[in-house]
Amino acid sequence: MAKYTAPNLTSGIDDAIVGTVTAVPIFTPMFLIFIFGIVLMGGIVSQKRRTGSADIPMWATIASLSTFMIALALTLKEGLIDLNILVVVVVVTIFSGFWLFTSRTRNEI
Amino acid sequence: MGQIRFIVGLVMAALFAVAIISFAIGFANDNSAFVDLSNNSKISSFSTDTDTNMESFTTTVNGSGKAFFENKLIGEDTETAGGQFKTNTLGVVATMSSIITLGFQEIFGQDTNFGIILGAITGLFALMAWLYIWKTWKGNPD
Repeated sequence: MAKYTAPNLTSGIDDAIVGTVTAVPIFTPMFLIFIFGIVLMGGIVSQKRRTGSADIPMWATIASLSTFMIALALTLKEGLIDLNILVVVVVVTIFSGFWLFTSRTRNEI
Repeated sequence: MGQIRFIVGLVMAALFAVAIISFAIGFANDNSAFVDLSNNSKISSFSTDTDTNMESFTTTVNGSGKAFFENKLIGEDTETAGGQFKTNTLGVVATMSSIITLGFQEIFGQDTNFGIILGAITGLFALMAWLYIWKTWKGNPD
């Protein structure tokens, strides 16, 4: 017996992604964590190479905002993202902003 | 951290939270999104509370500013103050507490078995916040 039914690709790539999310619900959170990690790590490494030190609160905020914008785009198609996941993304974004604004480090913004 | 920087940081964090939530709700309304952030009751009440705290902060600061111009000389070397200067710090700190509470509730859930850990961490954050305030207004807490 097949453990996974392949999505129907003839109805469009968006339906194929919805089929994937339906079969593997962790797909969307892992996708968003991947974006967050890429922006955060890329920014930190790049700034450290350029200036010698990295402003982690700033890059956490930028990574959160990037993830937030992607998450908002996912809300336009039914079945791509759950409300609870969107709420967690918003809360992480607010936390990152709170960290940035109360941070005592001298940053570039 | 100086007094001005501390207050500015808290106010900016509160405005940032309001802006993010308002943008998400506006985006959902404008584009008829299938997932709407306003359907979450905790986010809605947090947004309302933060709005109220910021309006209260604005009103109090404006009222306090007038106190400078309402001092009167009523006799030789005698002066009455126009009012007490205050910045409604508690209202701004309440917003910080709301942000932390919302984060713990939405990320870690409200499981009673896990509650003692969240309670301890929240208490630690509260202690750090009060030490910051003490250091800002009164000097070094060490």
